[in-house]
Amino acid sequence: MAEVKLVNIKKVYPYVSGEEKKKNKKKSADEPEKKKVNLQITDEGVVAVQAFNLDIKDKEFIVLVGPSGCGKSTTLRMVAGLEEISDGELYIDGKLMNDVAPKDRDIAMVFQNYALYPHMTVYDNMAFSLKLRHTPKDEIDKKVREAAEILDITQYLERKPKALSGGQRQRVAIGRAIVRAPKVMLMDEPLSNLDAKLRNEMRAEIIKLRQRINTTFMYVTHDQTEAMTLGDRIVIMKDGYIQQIGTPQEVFNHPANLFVAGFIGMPVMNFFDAELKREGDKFFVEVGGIKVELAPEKEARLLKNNVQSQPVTLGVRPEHTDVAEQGIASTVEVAEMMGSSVHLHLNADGKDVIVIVPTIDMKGSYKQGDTVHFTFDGKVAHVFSKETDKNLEF
Amino acid sequence: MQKKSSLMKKLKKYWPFYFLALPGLIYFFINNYIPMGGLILAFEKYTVSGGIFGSKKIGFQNFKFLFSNADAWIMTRNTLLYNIVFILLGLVISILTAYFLHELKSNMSRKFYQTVILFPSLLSIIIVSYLANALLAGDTGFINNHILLPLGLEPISFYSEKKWWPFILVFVHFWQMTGTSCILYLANMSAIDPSLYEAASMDGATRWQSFFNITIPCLVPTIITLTILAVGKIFNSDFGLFYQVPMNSGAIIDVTQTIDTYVYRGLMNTANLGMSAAACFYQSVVGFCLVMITNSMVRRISSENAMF
Amino acid sequence: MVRKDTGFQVFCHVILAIMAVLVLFPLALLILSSMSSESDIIKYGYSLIPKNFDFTAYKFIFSEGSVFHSYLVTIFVTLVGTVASVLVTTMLAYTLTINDLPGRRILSFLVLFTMLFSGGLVPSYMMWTTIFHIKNTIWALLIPNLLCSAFHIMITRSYFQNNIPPAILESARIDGMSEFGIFFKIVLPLSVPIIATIGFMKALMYWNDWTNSLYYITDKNLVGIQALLNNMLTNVQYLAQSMDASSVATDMATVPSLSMRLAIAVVGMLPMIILYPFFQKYYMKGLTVGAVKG
Repeated sequence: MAEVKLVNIKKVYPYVSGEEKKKNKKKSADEPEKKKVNLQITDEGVVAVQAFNLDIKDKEFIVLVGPSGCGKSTTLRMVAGLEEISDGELYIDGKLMNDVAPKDRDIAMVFQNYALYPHMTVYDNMAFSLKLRHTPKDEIDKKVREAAEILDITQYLERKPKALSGGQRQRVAIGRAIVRAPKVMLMDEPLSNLDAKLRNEMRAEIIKLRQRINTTFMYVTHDQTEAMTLGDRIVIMKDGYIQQIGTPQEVFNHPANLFVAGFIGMPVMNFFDAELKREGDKFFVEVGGIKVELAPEKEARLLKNNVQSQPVTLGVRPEHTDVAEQGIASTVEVAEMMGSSVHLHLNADGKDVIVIVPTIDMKGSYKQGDTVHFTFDGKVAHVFSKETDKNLEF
Repeated sequence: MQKKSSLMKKLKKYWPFYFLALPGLIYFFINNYIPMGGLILAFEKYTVSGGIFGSKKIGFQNFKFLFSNADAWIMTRNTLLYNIVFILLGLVISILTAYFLHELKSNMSRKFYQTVILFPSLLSIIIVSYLANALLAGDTGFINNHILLPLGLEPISFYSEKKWWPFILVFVHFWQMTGTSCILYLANMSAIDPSLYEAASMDGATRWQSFFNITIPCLVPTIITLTILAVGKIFNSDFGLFYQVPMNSGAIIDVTQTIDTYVYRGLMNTANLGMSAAACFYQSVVGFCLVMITNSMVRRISSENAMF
Repeated sequence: MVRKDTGFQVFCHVILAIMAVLVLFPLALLILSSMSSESDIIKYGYSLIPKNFDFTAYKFIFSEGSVFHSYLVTIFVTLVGTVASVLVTTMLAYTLTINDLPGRRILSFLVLFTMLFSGGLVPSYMMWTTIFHIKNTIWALLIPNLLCSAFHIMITRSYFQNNIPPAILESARIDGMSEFGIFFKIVLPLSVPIIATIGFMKALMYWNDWTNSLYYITDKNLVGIQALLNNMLTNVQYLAQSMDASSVATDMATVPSLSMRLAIAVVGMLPMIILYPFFQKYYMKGLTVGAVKG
């Protein structure tokens, strides 16, 4: 029930003076340490997050997504107050929170490994934060039972966490967070420790939960499916920088750069080396002997950016690529039958391309070595600058 | 200004931790760090009015006295020789004991033997002295009354005959310590991947070939670390073993005097305080040098095993 | 390993059995002799098969106040010392696990350095007696060299680092717990194994300690059970003399000094024998962890 505003947030891990003792290094190789591997190294130290600007609206569900080491967890932990903010300002409900202790920020957090207190029962785990805040006993009881009801864990209240399965433990962890009715709910890869089936179940569960409790969510994951299905908006991060912020649809249909294009979507977008040709106000891409005109709205944006003819990286999603009589020639390497569609792994002039063909459109079957032509529409072609990897439409 | 406020911020955040650490730190300061400074006693002629830090400085005179008589040589020799025997023989005894325990098929009997062998480490050296005394005592001892007498041999007066004591002390040491030292090798042996042995037996290795080609090489890091640690402590001895077990007997002092017993005996005899302090300084400083040297050796051989 | 090695199994059993006998024989001798009559010991020496079972020595111990008193002193010192040292050790070890604590490396070094260099007996003795005047006080049995050791700090610290997920502590912080609350209500309850390990080792040290008493105690009221045994080892008549002094009208000749000191030795090791089976697991863990880490 709060707005969260991050202004120019930066996180630097300063160097420890002198050489770190080997022993300690091995020991304290916990999360933030591991991440340093592919981060930027500057004079002040190792930069984990920088130039992070984000306005989260009240009751919005924001998902931070990116490969491991991109700074998403660090950002979340800064909002939680578990990491110091090196620079920039964090506001929750308009109040500056940089130096406020975690317990005074009115936030709750769900951890990847659940972080339940092993020596307390489920009930005590959930009641713990309320007890510390001197909530009256009957009110605690009411809230805990309510939350247990929502999460369907009422029958486990008297058990210890050890006696629960992974999915149940994560429900308890979520329950522990919601009894507080926090202003902001932070979730750090809450589903990563679950197996695939449970993960799907819990994902649906979180969507339902979100409809029942009205609060602001910040959710960190490396899983794009979670990001797409849960988020009102998605923040895609890499190497400490935000790559793109947008609704799931926006980032899928209009990736801001090559990284986002490759990161979002399964199977991964196909990329080609292509030529962008400008002929007056019209734009064409030339690739593998075919020439496709881009859709008018794309042309308009390119025109606005005053883009000229140039070599580009062309991106087309497998689901937007069609098999046709004429088009780019390729040979079939593998045909994967997925049920409603077939994933064709093609070799087009030495380049691996995946094309998804809906089963109902298929005439006959595909064998290894078959020659296949494929093409695409001007609406779904993304052109990226060779120099900056940026989408030329932006 | 900014620095100050960030310091305040840090203090506000971290003071509970410093508070938790405080009792332990105060303890180390008093129990360990003040006596380090107190080593200055070795260069003083101690007087009650002057105290530890204010007595008259007399340079190296205490050391001159200490090293001018035979005691210094005898106690150094004994300390070093006993420790060398403990280290070398200890390697063989504890590794073999661990190996026999490890090879036992029955878990029950392994547990039983382990429990028994470990048991003496629970006893105080005083009790151990009683046990030794029950065996060795001249008039009532078991050996004299129940072994030598029935065989028609002369009873031995152990507590006044020097020649027996090197053996007795070594035996008592291993009697008490084999359990604790073999348990470590046992833990390391259990950690060796059994498929190594299986592979070796497929290759036709005999038991002893496996022992020397797989078990021992896998233990080498532990052996090196433990040996070097022991070498670092080669100037120290178990005071109780050398003072209590021989029952502080004067007749055998030539083979039972170590630096620790010398320091204690000197301390209890105030006239000798200076020399005792000098011996103590000698032990601390040489011991420290040995630790530093051995540690830098370990670091060169395998930095993983270095202490710091 | 499918290998016919009955021969080797037998060999192992034989060697280990010999070792077990070597260990157990002196203990059996001690225990059985303590049940012999004084006159038999004088006549036949210590023996595995007492001529006459005689429990006079034990009767004497239980009727005699000063042995009982020594026992109480040792129990008191062991209980108080163990609790205090477990607290001090865990508190300092926990602080050393706080990664971003300013000065943590210096503190770790200060603790570690005490394992490398020590002042030795003479300066310690002079300091405790002339500066802190600890002689003939109960503190002398509790504090010097016993309360806290760098080695125990190190094994406790690495236990905390490896067994307590940081997320649990962070979670408690977000839940609104104070740092003291986190330590006492989360960290300690989750550290039962290491507390049992160092607790047992500390208890063993306190129970078996006799040197502090040797150095600092002359007052009869502060003599623990080990110190009492120590006094009796060098002076068989120690107890008889002290009994006279404490005005019990006993005929010195009837005090079974020889068997009684054995009986006291038996009683003195009894508590550790009783506790051992319950703590063996933790004790062995402490021994192996420690030796690997140095």
